[in-house]
Amino acid sequence: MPLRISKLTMSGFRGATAPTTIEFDTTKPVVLIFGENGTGKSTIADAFDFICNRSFGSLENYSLGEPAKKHVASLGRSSADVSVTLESGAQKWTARMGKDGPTVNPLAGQPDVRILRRRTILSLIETQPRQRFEALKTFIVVPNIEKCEAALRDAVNATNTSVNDLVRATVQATDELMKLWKAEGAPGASALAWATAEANKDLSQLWANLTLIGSLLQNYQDVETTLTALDLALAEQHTALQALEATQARQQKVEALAVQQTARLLSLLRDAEAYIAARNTLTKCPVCEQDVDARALARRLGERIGEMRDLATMAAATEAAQRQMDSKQIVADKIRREFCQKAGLLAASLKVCLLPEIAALKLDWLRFPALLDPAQPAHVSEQQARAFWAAISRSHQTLEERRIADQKSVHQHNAIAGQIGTLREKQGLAVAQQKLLADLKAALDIVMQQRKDYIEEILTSISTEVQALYSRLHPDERIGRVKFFLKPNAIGSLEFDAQFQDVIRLPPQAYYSESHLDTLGICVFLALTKYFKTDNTVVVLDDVLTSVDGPHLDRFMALLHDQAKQFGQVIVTTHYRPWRDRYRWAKGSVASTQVIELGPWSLESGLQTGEFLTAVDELKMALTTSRFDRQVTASKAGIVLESLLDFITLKYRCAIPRNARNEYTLGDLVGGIDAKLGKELRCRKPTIAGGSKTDVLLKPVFDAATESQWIRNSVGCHFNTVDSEVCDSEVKDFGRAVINLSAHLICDSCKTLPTRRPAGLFWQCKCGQLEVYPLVYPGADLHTVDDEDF
Amino acid sequence: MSTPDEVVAERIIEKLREAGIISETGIKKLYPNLVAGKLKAEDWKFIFETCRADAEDGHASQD
Repeated sequence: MPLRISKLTMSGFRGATAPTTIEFDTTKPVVLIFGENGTGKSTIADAFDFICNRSFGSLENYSLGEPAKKHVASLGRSSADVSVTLESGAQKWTARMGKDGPTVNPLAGQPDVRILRRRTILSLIETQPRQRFEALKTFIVVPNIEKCEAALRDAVNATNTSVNDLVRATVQATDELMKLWKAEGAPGASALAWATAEANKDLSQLWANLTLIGSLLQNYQDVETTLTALDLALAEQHTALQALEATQARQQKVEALAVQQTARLLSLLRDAEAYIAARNTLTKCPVCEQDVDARALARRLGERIGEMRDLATMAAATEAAQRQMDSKQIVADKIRREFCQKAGLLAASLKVCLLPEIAALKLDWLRFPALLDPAQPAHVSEQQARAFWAAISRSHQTLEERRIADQKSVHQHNAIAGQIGTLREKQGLAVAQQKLLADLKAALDIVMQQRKDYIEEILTSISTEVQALYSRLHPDERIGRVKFFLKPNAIGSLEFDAQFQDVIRLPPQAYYSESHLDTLGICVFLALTKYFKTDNTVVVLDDVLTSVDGPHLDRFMALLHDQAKQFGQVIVTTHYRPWRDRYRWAKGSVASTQVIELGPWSLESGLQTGEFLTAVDELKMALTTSRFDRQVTASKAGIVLESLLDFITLKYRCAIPRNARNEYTLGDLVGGIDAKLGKELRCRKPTIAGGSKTDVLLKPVFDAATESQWIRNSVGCHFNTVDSEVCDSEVKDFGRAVINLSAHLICDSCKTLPTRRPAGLFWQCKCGQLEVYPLVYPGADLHTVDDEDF
Repeated sequence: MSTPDEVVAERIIEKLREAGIISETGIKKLYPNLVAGKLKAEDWKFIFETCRADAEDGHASQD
């Protein structure tokens, strides 16, 4: 048995200001909840949404200016008071208001409730293609696949860019090689062949020469540098010598002027002065031991030293000049040795060097024997080093030119090898990336195609199903042929067209009536829900039908009952009384439909649910109640009799006196069943459940009910004295006769009148247990047969 | 019942397999991430590079 909801309990939720429990008959696949406007139908639908879809239901369709969750609680109640409980057999779920929305315990397993509201129909049918897509996208989008497809497209684009970059790099490397090749005069068969050969050349000798030349040039540099330093040192030494000689000459002149005032004397006098200064009590000369006046002696020493100051100055100058001379000598000697050493190193290198630039010098090594012999005196070595340098210094430039040329060759080789390497590397990478790109493109084509195919399949399937459903509701009306499709090259835009009269591919919104659009929206919803249904799918239609005529309502009810087989349960709310009355007057099967009536809502009491009774059930109750009400019984019996006579006279197109208002009295209807029809009229049904069918002539049953029909007017409708003369038993008999008639015309099993004619020979109830004969008025053309209900 | 993402993912995998551009190892990596919408551009590239490398290694070892 499919999953069916058995109980819904609401407390503090929307219109349920008082705890409300609705029990569902799980033996019946369809539930009709009837209530006039403002009785709480949407509260019930919202409660299903709240607990099964964690949604705020119809509140989410409105612009409230603040979050919908603020209005979930009943007026005067808080979010903490909100409670919705759903039961299905032994399973039970409870939903409460959480911080972020409804929280349901237990988390999983609730029925898969799909709810259609009138506003949703507008979204499905009447809005723009983009809004329609939004309304349907939960059915037709594959969001995760689309994310991956977008990532795959990025991968294709990135790889394509990578391939282009690599191709560009190979072209650039080829161009560079072409330039190098042409610069070399385009030797060989091709640039690539030439470059490959060049890149493969052995550069070891070139590198060795470059290293040697580099070393030699460094030696040249060293010799030149030390020679420059030596020349400078010698010049400075010469200058110092000249200064010494000049100082000595001046000193000799001063000494000649004061032969006695030698430098030694000056020194002796200074010593004596210092000696006396250190001994203030001196009275005798330390040399001759004669008495002396120390003060007078000191004064005299001072006078003599002053006289010898020029001589002292000259002596100091000579000493300084000598020290300078000695210093310059030392420096010059050191640099000389260094120069000779560097020159010796260079000579040793050149002597064994095989470079043509050196050989061209044709050096006579016999001229420089001391250069290669460290034991030779410095001045000899210096002379030969200077001669050697004079012989080779011009070759420095030649070697430098050779080095530049060799370096150019190396650079050329490196450039060629680099370009060849780049070319090969990029070509290899480009091939790999091109293969990857081909795979990615193929994958993208597959992903896109499968996604589109899937959506097209759904839309085609839905279109087909919508057409099937719609044609049942509107047969022979030349409307329908609805086709949904995604607009090419438009994202998120769902189009649809339909037929009107003989013209196809028209926008139905432009041609269909409002009720036709309503039923189209319902068919779209049912088709979608059917396509995506699960084993637990329950359909809720929340007041989706506004006003339709009788035949369309009958077909819609039949369609719902038929579609209910596809789902666990179909729960319908409606304010449309003719729908509810179909069940009241046995035009709809209460055997397969549970009808729940909602009474007036009030803030204190909240939703009011009442027991639904058919008109016959109400009559039976009136007859069996302990406090018998004769007026009510007579009235109800009369109205049931009227409905049964209306049914029969319509079915057989009986002759009834016409009137301007097209309204018929009970007496008119009674007269409609004439003797000719009464002779043929019979029902056929099992006397016990599952037993064989037997015929019952209906004329006596009709007569029993209609012969007392005056009681309806006398007791049930009007004030008159006759009423007082009718006893209760007569009223009860009238009521029982009407119930007996209803028992012959309304099936015990499906509780419906015989409104179908599947065999074309008789009328039959919805379940087929009850048959009523004949099909048409005796002798009438079969083409005059009344329409059958669905 | 499979979700729409699962249905399309299965079809995609089947077509990729038919096209011979993905190995069974690649499919094992691809399917769950495809259903979950977790594949990035780098993931796609890695999967196909790996599959191709595996295929070329296989050919090389056969040679």
